[in-house]
Amino acid sequence: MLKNKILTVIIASTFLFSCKEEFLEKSPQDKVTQENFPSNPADALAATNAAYEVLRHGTYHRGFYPIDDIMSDDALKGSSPGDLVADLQPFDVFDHNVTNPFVLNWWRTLYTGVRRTNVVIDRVPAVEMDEELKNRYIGEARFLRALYYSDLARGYGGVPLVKESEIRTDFTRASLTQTYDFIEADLRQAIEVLPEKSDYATDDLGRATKGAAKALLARVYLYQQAYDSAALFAEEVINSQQYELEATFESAFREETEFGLESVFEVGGIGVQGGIAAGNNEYTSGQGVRGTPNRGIGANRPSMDLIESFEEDDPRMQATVIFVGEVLDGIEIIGDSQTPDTTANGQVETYNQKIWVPGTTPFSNTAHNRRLIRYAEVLLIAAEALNRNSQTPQALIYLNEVRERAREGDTSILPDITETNPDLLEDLILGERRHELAMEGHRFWDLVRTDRADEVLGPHGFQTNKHELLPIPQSERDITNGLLEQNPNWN
Amino acid sequence: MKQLILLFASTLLLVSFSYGQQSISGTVTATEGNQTMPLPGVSIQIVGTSEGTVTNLDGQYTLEAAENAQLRFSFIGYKTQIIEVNGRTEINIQMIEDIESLSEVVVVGYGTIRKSDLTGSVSSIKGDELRTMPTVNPVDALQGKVAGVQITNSSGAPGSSPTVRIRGVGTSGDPSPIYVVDGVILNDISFLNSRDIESMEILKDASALAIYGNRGANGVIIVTTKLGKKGEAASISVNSEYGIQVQQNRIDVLNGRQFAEVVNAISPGTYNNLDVLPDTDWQELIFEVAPVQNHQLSISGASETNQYFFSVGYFDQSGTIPESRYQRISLKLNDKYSPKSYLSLGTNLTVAPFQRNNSINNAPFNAYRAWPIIEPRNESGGFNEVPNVGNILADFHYNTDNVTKGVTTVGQVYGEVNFLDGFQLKSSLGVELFLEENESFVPVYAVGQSQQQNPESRFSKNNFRRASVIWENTLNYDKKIGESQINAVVGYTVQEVSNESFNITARNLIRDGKDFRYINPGNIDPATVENGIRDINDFYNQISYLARFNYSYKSKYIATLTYRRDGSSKFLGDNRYGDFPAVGLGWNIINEDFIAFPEVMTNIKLRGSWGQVGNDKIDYLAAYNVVGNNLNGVFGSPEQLYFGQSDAGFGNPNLRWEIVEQYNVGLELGFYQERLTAELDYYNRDTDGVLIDLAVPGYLGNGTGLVFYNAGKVRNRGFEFNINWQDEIGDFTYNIGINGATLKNEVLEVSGVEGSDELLGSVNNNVVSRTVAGLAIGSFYGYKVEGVFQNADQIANTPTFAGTQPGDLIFADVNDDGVLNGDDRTFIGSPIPDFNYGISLGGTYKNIGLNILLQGQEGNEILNYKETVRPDRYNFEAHVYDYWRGEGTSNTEPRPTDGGNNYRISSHYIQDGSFLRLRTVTLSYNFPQTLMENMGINTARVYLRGNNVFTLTDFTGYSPEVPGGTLINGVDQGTYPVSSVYSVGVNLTF
Repeated sequence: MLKNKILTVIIASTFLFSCKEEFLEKSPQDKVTQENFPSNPADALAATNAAYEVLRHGTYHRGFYPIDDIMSDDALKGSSPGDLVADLQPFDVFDHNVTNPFVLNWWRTLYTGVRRTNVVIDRVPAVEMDEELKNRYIGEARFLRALYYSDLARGYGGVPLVKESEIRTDFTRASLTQTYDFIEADLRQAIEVLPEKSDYATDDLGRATKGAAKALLARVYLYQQAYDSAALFAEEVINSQQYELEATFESAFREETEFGLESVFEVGGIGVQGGIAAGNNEYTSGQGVRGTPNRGIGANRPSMDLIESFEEDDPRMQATVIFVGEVLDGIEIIGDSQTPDTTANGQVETYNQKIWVPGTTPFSNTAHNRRLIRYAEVLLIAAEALNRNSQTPQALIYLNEVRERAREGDTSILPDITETNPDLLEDLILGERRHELAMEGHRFWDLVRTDRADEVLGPHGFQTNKHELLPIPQSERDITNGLLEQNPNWN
Repeated sequence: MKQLILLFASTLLLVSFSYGQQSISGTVTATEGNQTMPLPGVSIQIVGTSEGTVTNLDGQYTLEAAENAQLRFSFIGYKTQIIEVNGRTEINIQMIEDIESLSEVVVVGYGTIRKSDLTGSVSSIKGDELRTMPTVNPVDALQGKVAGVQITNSSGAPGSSPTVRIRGVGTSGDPSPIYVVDGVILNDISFLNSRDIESMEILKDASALAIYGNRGANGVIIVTTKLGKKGEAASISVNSEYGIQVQQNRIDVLNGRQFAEVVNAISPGTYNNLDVLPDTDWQELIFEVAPVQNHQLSISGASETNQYFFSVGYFDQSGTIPESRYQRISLKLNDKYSPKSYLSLGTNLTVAPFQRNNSINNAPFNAYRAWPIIEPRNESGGFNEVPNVGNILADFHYNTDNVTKGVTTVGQVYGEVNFLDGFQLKSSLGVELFLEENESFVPVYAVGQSQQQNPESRFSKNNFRRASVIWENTLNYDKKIGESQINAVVGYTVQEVSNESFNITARNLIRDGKDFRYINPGNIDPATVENGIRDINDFYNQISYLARFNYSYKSKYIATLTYRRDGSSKFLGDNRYGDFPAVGLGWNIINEDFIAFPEVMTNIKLRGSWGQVGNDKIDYLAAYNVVGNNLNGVFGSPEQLYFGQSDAGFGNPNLRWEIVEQYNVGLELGFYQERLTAELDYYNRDTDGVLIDLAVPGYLGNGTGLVFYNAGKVRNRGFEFNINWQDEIGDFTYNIGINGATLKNEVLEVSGVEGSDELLGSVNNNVVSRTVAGLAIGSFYGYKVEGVFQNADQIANTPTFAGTQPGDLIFADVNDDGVLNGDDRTFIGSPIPDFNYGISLGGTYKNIGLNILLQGQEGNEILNYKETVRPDRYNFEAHVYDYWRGEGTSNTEPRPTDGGNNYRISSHYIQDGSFLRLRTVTLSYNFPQTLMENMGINTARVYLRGNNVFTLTDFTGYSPEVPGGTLINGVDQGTYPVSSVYSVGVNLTF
């Protein structure tokens, strides 16, 4: 009897147990799925914020170490002699190749930015929320998408135009013209909806503005030699009454002028431990002073060529270059003393002062804000474009505005430029760009877009029809089974 | 003794009064190892009657039988003997083990089956064979013993587990088998003490594996732990072992002077006075002789209603680099209580607390790269800065305050009910609970100006929990009906798996001491506290239905049908359920009447099987597109953090099971009373829809993230053999065994990211392998080197990379298009061995025994990747010193450089990975029983043993056992090598 009872109980409890299908429904833990995002106004804001986050990644800054400055005549690899020799040194002598990790990192990071902007542009429209705010979010994303693509275009040429957040893997490269058309369309739409800088609340400084979109559009036109349009948008920025030059050149890069008068577009940073998620901006860690004080790895070292090219007593030289022995903010720069002082072959231990951050926090936690577009650049774009457009007098006004600020009231230096021959003036404007914008990632592309690269960089190893562009990373071509064509003369 | 004489006398007296009937008595014994032991519980039956008896605990029996009666002595696992009484009153019998094994029972999934009725390929390893290595993981003992099972011990870190591959590699995710410990499905058995294990069964073919459905793709190892046998007296066993580990190998690198000379060749004038440069051998500084010990005490026995096994064990291994250690206590309690003949209740429980001191596991790699011209310490005793790799001794000093403590608990309760005739219903509830807590502390320190710095002290605590609950219900039926033997099972199981971690980190503790390892808001700036809870990669449920029907007719013809249906929450929609069928057929030819010479041939069996199994070992999130958190924006003056979220990574909602389709043909042979046995198998194993995590094009904005795809089809096929001979010559018994397995791994199809017909394996974005149809999975991919450029003319006439100079490697223009580029990379080697083998030799003479196990593999290559990592200047391997110094000086060693084309992945860095290793040599001595009896000891054995005593190989790294994945396999990135071990041990039973 007992036996039967036990049996009944066991059989009942085992085989009559029926398992519900819900048992196999397990949702991802602590993770929203993309199908349900963004679904409310807070999500839409979070998605927009995330599109900016990429700007603080070291790899966004031209592959962590500014490979474009190192390729130019303005900077050397830097760091200690044995450091970074395999992957970074080659950019100095145009020996970089298709498997170089910085070439890949920059590509991947820019497209990570593109993807974040696509999420906003694609999926925020369906969110029920305040229409004006929604349009602003989408405008911010369009500005950022254009910013990421503009780096891709000048770095790699025409690239796959990923415009939607849907995953597709059959992309081929668009032409350079198509790429720029796409960038321009984004910026024009952004200009329509973005507020001016002064219309933003203080808490929102750092978000894309109408002025930033116009300035970037001016830069993009300049790169395409579309001087009419470049001048048009640069002057719109100038005439918007939103921006001015800071009182001194040096102060334009310091903490006190963050989001200041001269700042057209700027990437913020918070200096606490905790990495990018905590707000760090990795821009300076690759370039900061190496050794003592320990402010960075010390790559991207201003070259003797740059130092010697400044006009006599141009204060911008001292404000751009940190020399060993100098005292900054009461801190003596000792450096790492590993660089043999071989002034003879053009190398002394120097560092980029524009990214200088005083203090003793670990260098990976820097709060330095990168000024991505400064008003001075806008003035110089206007000057260059107007000069090309035979409006030399107006060009001179903008050019001399930059020089006037640079001379800081010292009339014995940096006299106003009066040259009216457009070709000679162009040389002067490019020289001005070199000194005003040194170490900010412009010089190499300036040389390329004005066909001066062969002449200036030829001795460094630059080959025409090859080194104007970076190669498409080999692994990208491998993964896509060759669907992405390589740039000319790269193998 | 007096009593015995009295008994004997009284027996004689009784005999004289009986007529026809007489009392017979005696002792039944059996040999175990080299000992003759009394055998309790042997059944003695008078043939032709139902009368009989069983032997008592001392193996003695007494019964009444006719003078001319026949007695049948039988006991499971031994040959049944029929003895004529012939008027004798004392009959002592020595039972002989049934090595024909026809009645041997093999543990298979959800039941047991007579070996003769088995149609699948199952290897069984028992007893002392499991205890030949002083390592934490019992699976190490399978090394070289089972054909088709490759065990690679690639890490010498204390407490580390080997990689296990059964019949090749068919997947990329995780090609490891699963373990079933007393019915609980697990991924790891390193918590088990090998002395608690009764047997390990390795299931290899589809007929055996299909009952495990979606878990069976990469093989199953069934572990049965010990339990006292009915009728067995209580016995206490003490086992103790102590050994030392010695890392004998060094990698040949440049000494200080040579290093300086090579650097001068790269950058002339760097070192001008070679005579004053230090010469530091970093490898000598990091390796040390380290102890390992393993002890176990167990009690085992049974009464009529209760069978039990209890043990406590302690394992303690220090590492051959400083500050590394692993300690484990294992408690085991198995009990089976059978209050009624039809009812049993039981429990199997293991609790294993452990502690692991974590050291710097890449120290050997850093020692290999550290500049030899740097003294480890300066005059004042501080650490010197070592460029690019850091000072390893400083790492040991500052960075090893890192301890992991945890406990593994695996337990099961079950009930069995036998009813009607041959039915058994079993329900078991199993639990795996793994808890781990890691604490690490890094003080404030600074070795160099720009490296090895920690400006703020940092304390981290990380808790991890893994929990798995599995409930299994099975109904078994086992019965002989006429000439038919039926063995069947149906079942239903559910499982829930989850794991989770909690971590917290704080900076600037108020004191460095161990007493201040707490995160107290009163003592610590809350702003420095980071914490979080994460679920890791397992959070899934599974439901399974299973059935197997095994039918044997006249013990000649056998058929097995198996079916399992699995549903897993890891997969979505129509891909959620999978069906896994298998068929096995067997023919015991030996039982046919036409077999001649039965005295020579004692076993001939032919078997074959076909079936499908699956693999679900992927991240449970792999099918989902998830949104990434903390992609924050920084805005405002002063700057503030604004929460950001966006698409990050993406999943593949179309994922489905990997399906392994396998067929197997096997032949088992036995000759001369099984003195010579052979088992031969041929198999073909196709994995379709291989789950591979692939890099996707950068333009998708996935960064470095990988995505799972069902991306290909891989075939593994091979021939396995296992031949054993055992014999005795007088007092000398010996055995010779050889097993081996060929393996041909071939990719049949690749269909990865759209448009791609190849899979690339990358280390730090460096492509090292390429998997395409026609080659082995994970084949090395790079440039083919054809020598060294001797002069500029040669370069001018050859396609080269920009910047090539005389002295650089010549890379072949493989596609002959006159241009050297990425398309010229080609197959340069395979990481998968063609042949794995093991040779075992054993011999005993009287009380002395010697056992030797050799294990090896042939035909695989290793990529010496550690030599190609050159973003910076490191020390070089010694061969670099023979570099090209001008025309005609070398056609193999290029000019030295710190980076550049010569370091591209090429055949220059490929080496032969074949090896033959002396795994185990054991010399043992059994004390004579007569000597021990007075001390109350049943058996006593002492032994000396060496493991990994020597290795024959051409590979230049520490060990040819290089970590194995799938797309990145056989790539030596610098390992913490395994060492040689020399031990002494003692086994006692009371």
